[in-house]
Parts: sequence; structure tokens; C-alpha cells
Amino acid sequence: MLIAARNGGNQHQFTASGMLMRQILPHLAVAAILALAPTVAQAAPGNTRTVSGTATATIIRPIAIAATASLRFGVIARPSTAGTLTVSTTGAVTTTGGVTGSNAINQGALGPRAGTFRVSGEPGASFVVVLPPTATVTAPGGSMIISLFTVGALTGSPAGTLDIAVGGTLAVSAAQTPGAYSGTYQITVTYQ
Amino acid sequence: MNKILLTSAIALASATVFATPALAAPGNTATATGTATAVIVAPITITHPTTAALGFGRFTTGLGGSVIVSSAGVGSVTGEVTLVPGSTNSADSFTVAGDASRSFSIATTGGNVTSGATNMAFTTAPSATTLSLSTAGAATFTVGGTLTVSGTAPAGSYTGSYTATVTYN
Repeated sequence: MLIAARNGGNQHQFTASGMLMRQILPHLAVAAILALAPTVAQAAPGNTRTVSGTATATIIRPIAIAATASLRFGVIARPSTAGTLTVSTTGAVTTTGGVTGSNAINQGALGPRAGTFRVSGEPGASFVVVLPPTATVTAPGGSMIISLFTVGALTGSPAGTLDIAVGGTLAVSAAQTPGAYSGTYQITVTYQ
Repeated sequence: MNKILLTSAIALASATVFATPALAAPGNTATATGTATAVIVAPITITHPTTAALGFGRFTTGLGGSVIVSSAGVGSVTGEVTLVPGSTNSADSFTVAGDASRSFSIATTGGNVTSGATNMAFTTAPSATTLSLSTAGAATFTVGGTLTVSGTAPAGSYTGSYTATVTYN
């Protein structure tokens, strides 16, 4: 119920549910009085007129995002031919090429999972998520590229928050140096 | 950027109604840093020493029976099969390399030994079906088997092959 659209590329748009109106901060209605100082006019009614205008302002909560879990591709036996391993936003694993699936071998506590973030802000507001085209994970003697980031909405509670999940595709070469690879990527959310 | 995020979070937690008109700029966007991890382990490999073989030895068939070689290389017979003096039996062996301390499974198939137009079937049994690589990433295992011998098999030297497969657990 939360995903509104995807803008292609690496921009993703979300709309939090429109519920919880009670949480929306009250409009700050300010009555503006248009005071027209009577000048010389001593004239009778009809020569001047006064109306009330309305000015409004809405203060909304700033948007914030915090990482809550790492994007993990799991433990992968080095393939004999290059391939990729994709972790979806639900944590499902698919592979191509020589990579036969990290679930095929014992993962210990390092099994694949989607990265997660909690976005906080104004209930009902929509926002755009921007992810980088690629990111790099490195280990001594090697690196791998993560591409094709995807993002999906998880739960929208408590009010004013939306947990989102990030998936991606990892490219593994046939000459990949064994080791524990790690890296970072930037995720930006902006009110729309 | 982290400071901005922190400020925002605190303000949210306290549900403060801002009195200041926060227009655009800070508060309209936020960035976080996610981490990504992956572990690549050495692929598992298996090697068959050229000198190793599952040897059922030299025997006479009688009316048939079987030759059994344990994974320790000890031979025994059933039925009328008789090992001849000087016959030796041997278990096969394999070496495995890969990720240190990782557990793996072993599976072996059966096969046939052939001489001319005659086949005799055998089954195999590895010394273990699950092992762990050493801290140096090495392991070895042996394979024994059972050869079924017919009473009509002609004399000759029979050879054949089978497949051993190791898989990370």
C-alpha cells in the first residue's frame, strides 16, 4: 500500500499511507488584516472597503533516515566462471553465471539479507529515495562491485516512519580473492 | 550530515511542534550510509592421486560371489570367489582442498569394471560422508567398494571408473 511509483534509474518514490490525520500538525492559520489606513477620505461608506485575507503555514517534521541492517550477500564459494548474486529487497537470492548460490553452503551467521533503513518524518508525506548506481566492497587483495540497487517498502509503523529495504547485485569474478568484503553506500531520502 | 540527522531524530522523538518556519533546506532531505558485506571462500577442489586405485585384487570366480574392499583397504570375499596368493587389495584415496575448517559432504557412485565385452558392477563407499577441512584447508578420504563377480566372467584384467563428488555444506 505504500509504494507509489518508481521513477526509473535509481530514484524510487514512496508515499506513506495517508492515515493518521490526527498526527498531522495543525495548520498555523494566521489572520492577516489588511488595514487600509483611511486617508483623506472622509467620504461616506462606499468609498472604502475592508476584507480579511487568510495566510497559512504548515510545519512538518524533517525527514530523517537511519541504517538498521547491513545488506549481506552471504558466504559464496568462489565460482569457476564469473557470475552475479542478487539479493532482493525481501532477501531472496538469485544467481547468474558461475555463482551457484550462497545458500548452497553453510552461511553461519552471515547469510544473505536485504539492507534496511528506517525513514522518519511527517506522516502521510511522500518522499523519493536515491541510491547510487554502484558501490564497492573491498577486502585485502580484492574488490567487488554492487550494482542495480533496488528498494522496497516494508512496514509503516509506528506512525511517521517507514522501514525500507535495499537489495542489490554483486559481481563475483572467477579470480576473486577469498576474504571478507565490506563497503558502504549512500542512501538519500527527500520529501517530494 | 550525521549531526543533522541526529538533530532531526531528537526533534521527532519529542514530537515538538516547531515554532520556526522550517522551509526547505535542512529537514527536507536526509542521507544515511548503509553497509554491505560479502564473504568469498576458496572453492572446494578434489584431486585423485594417479597412484591410487580401488583394487579388488586377483581372484578366481568359482560359481561367483563378491570381493569386498573396506575403506581401510582390507579385502574379503563372499561366495566361491577366492583371492589368490600374492593378491593385494587397496582402497582408493582422494585429497580435498578449500576453505579452512569448512565442512563438506562426500558422495561416490558405483561403476563397472570391464574386460573385453564383460562387465562386472561394483559399488563404492567412502570412509566418511561428511568431513571438515583442516585449518590449513586440506582433507583426505578413502573409498572402498564391493565388486560383484559372476561365475562366468572370463579371466582378464578389468578396469573401470566411478565418480567422487565433494560439496561444501
